[in-house]
Amino acid sequence: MDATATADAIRTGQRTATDVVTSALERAAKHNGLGAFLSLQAKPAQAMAARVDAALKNGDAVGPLAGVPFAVKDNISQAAETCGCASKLLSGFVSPTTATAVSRLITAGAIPIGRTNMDEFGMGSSGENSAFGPTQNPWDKTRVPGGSSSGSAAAVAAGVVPFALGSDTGGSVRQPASFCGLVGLKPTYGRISRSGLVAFASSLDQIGPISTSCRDAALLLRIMSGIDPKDTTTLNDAPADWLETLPAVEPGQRVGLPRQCWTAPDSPVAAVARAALACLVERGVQVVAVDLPSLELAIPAYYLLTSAEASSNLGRFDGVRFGSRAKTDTLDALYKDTRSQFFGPEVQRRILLGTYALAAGYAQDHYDKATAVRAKMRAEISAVLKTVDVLAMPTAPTVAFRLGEKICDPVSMYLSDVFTTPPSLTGHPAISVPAGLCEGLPVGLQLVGAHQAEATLLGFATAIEDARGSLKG
Amino acid sequence: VRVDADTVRHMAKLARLRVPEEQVDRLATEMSAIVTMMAKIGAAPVTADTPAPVRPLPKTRADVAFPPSGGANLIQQAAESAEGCVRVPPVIDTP
Repeated sequence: MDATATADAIRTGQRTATDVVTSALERAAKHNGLGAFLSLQAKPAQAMAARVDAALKNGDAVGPLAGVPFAVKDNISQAAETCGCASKLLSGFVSPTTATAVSRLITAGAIPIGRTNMDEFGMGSSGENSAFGPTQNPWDKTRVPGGSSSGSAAAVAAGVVPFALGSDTGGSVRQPASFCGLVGLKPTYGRISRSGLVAFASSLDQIGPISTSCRDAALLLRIMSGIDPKDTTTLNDAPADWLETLPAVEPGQRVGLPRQCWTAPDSPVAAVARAALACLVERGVQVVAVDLPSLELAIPAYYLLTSAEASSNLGRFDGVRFGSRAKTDTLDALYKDTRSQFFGPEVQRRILLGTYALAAGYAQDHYDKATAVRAKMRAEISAVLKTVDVLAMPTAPTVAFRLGEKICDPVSMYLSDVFTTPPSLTGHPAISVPAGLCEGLPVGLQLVGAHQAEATLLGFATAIEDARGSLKG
Repeated sequence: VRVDADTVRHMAKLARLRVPEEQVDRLATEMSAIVTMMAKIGAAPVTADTPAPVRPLPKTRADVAFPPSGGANLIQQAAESAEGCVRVPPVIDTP
């Protein structure tokens, strides 16, 4: 049952919020072995559910998500709850503030029940870089759920909660959604406030929902979006009701397939993704090849820019103001020992890479060029999206890989983001929608839309969802 | 592209990380592979007509100062604090 149906059931008295939240907490305990949750918030969640039930009993107005439980990635803050980014460096850190996105969901009646596991500070594509152990994919527990929003995707795929929040810097909402047979939406950069999201690479980071249906993605986007004085990059337009205004797919509309993303059309994953487009063709949509040459450089540009931003953003974690602290006698040793003892290997590697990317002699040749490639890519994609309504490609080049399969090969791991990094670099909205199964595992189709054209994106995604249905494990 | 052991040590110093000597060679190998991948950006056909980075103009905030909030909360998050201040090891050696 998705969030919309759950909210309807509570509002119409078929179920109580207390029952729904208690069931979610029981399922979280039952699926504890997945490693999806880092902590649960049973008492506050049950208290919030009781308040929803009391309000409904009194006939008071309630929000559109009243009583619906959800989970929050461990890098998105909630006041009085730990916000540790699955890192030993922030182990035990209690946030003094609540992220705007979470606050808006709570105002709409949704109830957070727990903090989800993730790759430390959002750095990873498999969920294996958590300081608290990997998360398993509910479809096959020997496989990764994707990352970095690993726990959020696993919690939804296991049926613990109808939706969860993730953050997406290079595909961290869309790729785990693809690996777990779910809908993952990265909105236009600036659509959802980043206030309360622990920064990884600020010019790319976006909060996004992982859900079981496109209609939930539309509803959640409406609730979370809108200008926020705490984040000056938020878009200056009123939130639209994407659920009510979803445009139907019409004959004559066009889907562009970037040649650079379909270089292996015979691969089983590409075949499943391509087959999902057949329903659009049946409705008179034209599927055409398009050329986006700069996509070839998306991965190098992405890892250069994000490592550079990460090395700066993570400079604040020095053991002085918050988080863990190594025991030392001097201030310099305090910085070094704290960062070395409590950052995990992948985070340290990215900080070193970012330091290298920004070093004198290298930055001019490479960092500056990466920013130029990013601008070129943005111009290319925007130009092509004036000739087609959306772009389509597999969300990831493979299905969920086995735990441990890529952990010793960082370049191979980084390449699993090859299709999701371009819209992150350019700020375009993108969604992963279930396309079908390949060898019993989910495959996601990624759609990319024009800036601020989430309605078009959700319209196409809904058409595919209606034709393919939700995936069953 | 080869990142050597001395470069790893230098980057670690700049990044305030303490890389154990036995891990330097492994990190150098891993970083070499990643930097080789990153170096493909060097072949990018970037020319004078490449568009400049576009930064959407956000709505500007009112030019009003807000009092700092949550000061006490922030101090509480420090690993060590005393008398309303964050406590750190001595910065200047005392004789």
